[in-house]
Amino acid sequence: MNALLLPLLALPAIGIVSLLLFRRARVLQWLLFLLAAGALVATAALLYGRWELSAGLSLGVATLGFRNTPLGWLFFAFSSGLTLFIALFSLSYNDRRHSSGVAPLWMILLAATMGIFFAGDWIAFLVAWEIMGWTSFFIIAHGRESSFRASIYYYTLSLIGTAALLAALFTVWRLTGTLDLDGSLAALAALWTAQPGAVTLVALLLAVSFLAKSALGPFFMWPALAHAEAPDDFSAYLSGVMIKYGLFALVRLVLPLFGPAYAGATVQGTPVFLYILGWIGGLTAVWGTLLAVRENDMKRMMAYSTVSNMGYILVALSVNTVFGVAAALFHIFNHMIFKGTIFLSLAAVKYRTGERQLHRLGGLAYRMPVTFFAFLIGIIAAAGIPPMSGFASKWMVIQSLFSRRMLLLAVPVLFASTASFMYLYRGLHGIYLGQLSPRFRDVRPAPPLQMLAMLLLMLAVYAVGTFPGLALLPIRDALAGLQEVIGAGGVGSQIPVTLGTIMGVSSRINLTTVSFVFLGSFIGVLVLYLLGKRRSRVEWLDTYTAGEDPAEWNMTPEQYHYAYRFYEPFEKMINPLLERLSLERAYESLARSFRRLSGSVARALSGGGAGVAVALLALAVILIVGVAR
Amino acid sequence: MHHEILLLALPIAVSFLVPLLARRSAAVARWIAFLAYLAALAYTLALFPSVMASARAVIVAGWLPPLGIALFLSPLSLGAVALVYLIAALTALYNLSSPGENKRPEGGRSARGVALQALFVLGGVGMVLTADLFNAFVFLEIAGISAFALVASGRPLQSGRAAAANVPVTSVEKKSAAAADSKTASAEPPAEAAPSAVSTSGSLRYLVAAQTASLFMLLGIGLLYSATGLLTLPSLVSHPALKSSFGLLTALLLLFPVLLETKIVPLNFWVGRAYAGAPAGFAASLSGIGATAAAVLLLRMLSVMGSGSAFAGTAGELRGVLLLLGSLTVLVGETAAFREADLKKVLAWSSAGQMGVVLVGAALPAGEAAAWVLFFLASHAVAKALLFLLAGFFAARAGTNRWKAMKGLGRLHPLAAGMFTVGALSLMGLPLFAGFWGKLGVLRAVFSSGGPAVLAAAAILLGTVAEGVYFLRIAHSLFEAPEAESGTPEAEREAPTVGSGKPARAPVPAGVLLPALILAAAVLLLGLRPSLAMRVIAPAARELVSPDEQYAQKILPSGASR
Repeated sequence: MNALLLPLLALPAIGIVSLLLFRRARVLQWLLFLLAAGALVATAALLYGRWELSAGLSLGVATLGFRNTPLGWLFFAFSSGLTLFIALFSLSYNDRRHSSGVAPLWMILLAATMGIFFAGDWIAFLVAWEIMGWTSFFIIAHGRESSFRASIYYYTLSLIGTAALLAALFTVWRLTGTLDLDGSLAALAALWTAQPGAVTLVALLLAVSFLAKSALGPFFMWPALAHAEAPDDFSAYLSGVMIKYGLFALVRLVLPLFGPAYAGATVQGTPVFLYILGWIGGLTAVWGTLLAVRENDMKRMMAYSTVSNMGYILVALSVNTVFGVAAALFHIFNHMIFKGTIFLSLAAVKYRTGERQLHRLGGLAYRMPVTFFAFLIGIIAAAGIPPMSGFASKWMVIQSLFSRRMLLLAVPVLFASTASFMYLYRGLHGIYLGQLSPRFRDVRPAPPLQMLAMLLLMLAVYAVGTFPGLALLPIRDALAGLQEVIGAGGVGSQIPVTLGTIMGVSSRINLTTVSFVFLGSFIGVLVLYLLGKRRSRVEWLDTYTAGEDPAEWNMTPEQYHYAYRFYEPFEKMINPLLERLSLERAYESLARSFRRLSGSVARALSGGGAGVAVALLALAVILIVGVAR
Repeated sequence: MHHEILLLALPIAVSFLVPLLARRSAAVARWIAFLAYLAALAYTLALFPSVMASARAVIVAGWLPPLGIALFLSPLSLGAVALVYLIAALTALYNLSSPGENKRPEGGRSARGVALQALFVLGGVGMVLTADLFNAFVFLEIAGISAFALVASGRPLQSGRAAAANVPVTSVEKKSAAAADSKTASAEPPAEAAPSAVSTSGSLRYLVAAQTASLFMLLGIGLLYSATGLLTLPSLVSHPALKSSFGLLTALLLLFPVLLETKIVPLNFWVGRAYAGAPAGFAASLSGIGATAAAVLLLRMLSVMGSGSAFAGTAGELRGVLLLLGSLTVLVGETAAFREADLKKVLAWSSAGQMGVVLVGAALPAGEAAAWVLFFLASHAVAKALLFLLAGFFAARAGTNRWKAMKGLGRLHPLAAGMFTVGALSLMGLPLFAGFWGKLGVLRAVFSSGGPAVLAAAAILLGTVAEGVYFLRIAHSLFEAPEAESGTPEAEREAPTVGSGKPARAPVPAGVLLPALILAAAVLLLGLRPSLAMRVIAPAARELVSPDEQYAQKILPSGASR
């Protein structure tokens, strides 16, 4: 029973006990959850550097193997840190009015997450993956019908992904004869010359499964439903940790197939398969941004922003160099932190006001200053503006594209990145700036524990922005072991980085200096502001309708609000494209056809004598045809 | 006298004694049945150690086969018998309680019902224990007739709207199907027939189908006997080969009723109404005992046909057809269950789908999947019984079988709903639960055989996706707040406490809770420690893979077969 196995077993046990015995003791449940998150952080600290550690859970018919690898440790450490901050927030958030009751299931999910990151063989990976699936279904749905619809959408795509994963698992087993993750991948990679079709099939099946989990490509639409309808604190975990599973699995399971042993065609230095994935990532980034611009619901908007960011990460992975993987991991880490900040501040707003629609909010900066700052820092990072952390990782992503001369792919990435400012700023303005509605005149700031969580996250965003090495140095050390697995040698095989500087192909930037320049200017402006002329407080007036009554034009005041459908001209431009290429409609019609098929099958088999006759006839035909050969 | 005959004698005793002793009160009958099954289960478990060491044959009353009855006690048969008695005992426990407002003893609760149920159990136990085809036929008939009577005895629930709710949707569905969207899927159909139409028509369908299939089997037995003079499975193993077309015909005829009992397409048209009309306790037996015993019989027949030289080559020709039928059954079963409004029908079609997986596993060459097929079967029996019992409880509380009307019941009875979810997740094949290992094992065997079996794998995976959606839909709706979702996001999510102003519901009766707890614990235990079951299943699988080893030596002294 070592440090790997103990949390894996203890967490679900505590979760199940909590579910059965502490159903009414809400505070106790969330306190246990906080302790569990703390224990995971402690475990991460314990596990650092002990790369030889492994554990096996024997179940008689199979042994689930777990191994402490640098890559798995990185993801585990990052996600545990974020979970701790979210747990702090959740303890305060889940009071009597807002309690979602998902703490026990969330604890089981934490164990499943650990299992995914530390899986040493395919069966352990599958078990953890599946447990993650069904616990997250119940958490997202949490007993509400509207959330159920979102959750079942997500879970159907997840089931399709699992089917593909199972097919890939068994194919790998048949081809290589081993279930050990690293061993089977190495054996599979060696088969490129002998059986390229089989290896491509495995890669394709795995890619389908993991793209579905990370909402990339044709699976982009589920976060908007699931992240939005999930409990508000869980949305931060969904966007921060859960959506990264697919990308983790891509790095762990798919990239090793395209290492030095790859013997197929390449485009601009990277394998064709990965090149296509890169374009899928780029297009997803653009699509996510366009859809986010249209949104009026703050959580849906941020969910599409997550999809867009996943696109950047996939682009960075597709260049198939160590530098690219480092850029991807750095952006994963940054995204975890800044998206966590954003979603937690949205949760705090929802906690106090109960609103999610942008045009019904406004002016909350004056009532909830810490929440406002958290959101502000978050969106500055999300937009990729220094001195916050998002800049460094986006810069590295684009540098990785430059290292392979993939300039065409940089176009959608830059477009998406720049256009993201449209919706990010709108979110800020719609919620926090502008006029404060009389309804929210008495809104109190977020509770202290929630503010603490947000402050810590803000600090993390700023710290990584100033000292990118805080994240990049561990990443570089983790990737040192992967060098012989991923494209060795050549451009981008080193990750030159110091605590304060990031270096790329075309230039280097000392972010510490940049950050202090920004900080200096901010302080300078603040001083000027304080020394400036006296300010007098003026009562707000409701002036945006200039005395007219919107009802006279058959509009409600809300529809006439400037924030409602803010980007309507832009929407008009892109709507024709979105309408014609609507994947949601395709899925919806597929689901409808299946439902109709189900009804017909049930009716056909329940029909009277005619059905029986047809059935027996069909049987006779099958038997004759099948056996007469 | 051989004491092992108790395994068959106990249910017969129940069915004969109950009408005599329970003239006044059906409760006496129910208690007799429960205690008898409990005793039988204990006896079976006591027999295990000796049988695991060496399988043995029991010749009843000293009459040697082919005239007499020979029972074959092996890990496989005894394991199946233990499972059957477990489910019988738990169902009898369920029948002891009265979970609903139903005062009239219906179905399995009346004395007559108890006697019929005992006969059904006898049929199930017998067809697993016997080594002789004609005995298997007799036991199949016994099970079939008692099932028919029990299905027909199902009474609709007392509340008025239940009368309409139990009527299956027919022409109304057809008209609305064209414009149907998921939200308006199950419109209330007009009551087109009398209240017990479902039970009657379901049982009639089952009767017609089962009797026709039995006729075919009798024909096959006649043909086999005329050609070989043997009817015992072991002797067929060492018999010289029959002419291939003749052997094929006989094999097909013999397989008919077993395939019907295990709900294989296209012989499963009776499934929907029969299950919907059956009382909840019997539905659990039908699925847990009936389908399981028939599946075990099917596996043994297939293993004999596969390796046995009497049917040399038959299994090879049948294999492709059986794979196809199995895949079709999976697809049809899961698809049909998807849109059903009646919870019992959903569970019945889901059973059909799972049996399809069993057939796919059984049809694989060289019995690669034998152990996992058995594990899958066992986990399915346990989980399905759990689901049917809880479905009966929820139906009694909601007053109807429609699962949409059961919305929110989970908040009043969280433990029951939680156990329902456990059963559903196990059937979906999710880890921490028993079904995961079974499905994984079968899929692995399917993938490693390659070739056309991969299509079967695709069917199973597709079925898993559909199954996941409809099971989670039902499981989650139990936990949803029963009031309409208001616009404010801060809807009350905690379970209503007793003092919240709502009338307090009666707690879950012990007769429902206890069996459900035991079955749920079994599901969890098998999921977390599958090796517990493998101790029995591994030798059972060996018996299926190479029947000649076991049979020829253990059963029948040399002078027995002519």
